[in-house]
Amino acid sequence: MAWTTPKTWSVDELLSAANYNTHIRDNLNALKAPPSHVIERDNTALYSTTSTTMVAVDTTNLRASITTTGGDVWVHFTGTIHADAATGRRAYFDLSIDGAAARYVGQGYAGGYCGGAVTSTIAQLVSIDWLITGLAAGAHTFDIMWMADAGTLYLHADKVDALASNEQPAVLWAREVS
Amino acid sequence: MRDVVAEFKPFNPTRLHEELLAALGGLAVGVSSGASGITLHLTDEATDEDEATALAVLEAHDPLAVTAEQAAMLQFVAAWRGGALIGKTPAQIYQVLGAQINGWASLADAKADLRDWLPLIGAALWYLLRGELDL
Repeated sequence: MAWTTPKTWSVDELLSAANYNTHIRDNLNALKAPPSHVIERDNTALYSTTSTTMVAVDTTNLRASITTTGGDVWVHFTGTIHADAATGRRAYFDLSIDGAAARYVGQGYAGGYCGGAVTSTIAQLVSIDWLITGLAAGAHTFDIMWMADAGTLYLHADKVDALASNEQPAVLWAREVS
Repeated sequence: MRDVVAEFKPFNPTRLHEELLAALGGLAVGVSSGASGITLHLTDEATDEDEATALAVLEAHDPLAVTAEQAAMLQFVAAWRGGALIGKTPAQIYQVLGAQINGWASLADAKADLRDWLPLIGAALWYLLRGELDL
């Protein structure tokens, strides 16, 4: 149910069923079920990258798409990563909105939205939130971007890893929150 | 970014990245893999010819080939797993090393053991300190 900007009521105005349904019932329904897209991706294999500039992980299957009424959107990503074992690596993450370049690299942050050492062949948790403010009403897409400083990064997204403890989905969701 | 997507096949990402850099220099940004296959990331300056070169590099890529860095690590892991300390508890290692040292009859015996142990112990400590291997 779409959100409608609530009308301004006048003194002595007749409370019509149509207005009540549009501005009260429908808006409450819209608040109850805001535009959301949740992805729990089973890629049946690891994702990998050696890219030293931000690239999307998967613009087909790990892309959240929602149509907003205008305002703020909360985007969340949870993944389990590891690096190749040669030397200490660093992983960097960012967000692409509507297929544009990495958002925070574009703002001058060469390392993207966040980054950290991936110094182990043992899988490590990545959990990232973005609150994107002031998005215009309309259809929007959200892609997870990543890059390595060197070597190879892997993102777990499968149920068939050699180690059962490494079997996790890549989770991405976007929800309009205002 | 100019992306070239190819059908998935087994590959060594780090080695393939090195091969792309060798063939294309700074035009190669990296490689990724996922549901869509293998993606070769090139800069916007890359030409159709560069794209063909990248695909040829992928075609010629040997998934079993390793980088020099990977080879050194594999050599260490093989030596570690074939060594006397594998599978032992810290207390057992303490006993084994102590007994061996107490049994040294000559400087030559000591040198022979230390030549085996010290490189392994040094490398193992360094890998473990950096958290890179689950030995």
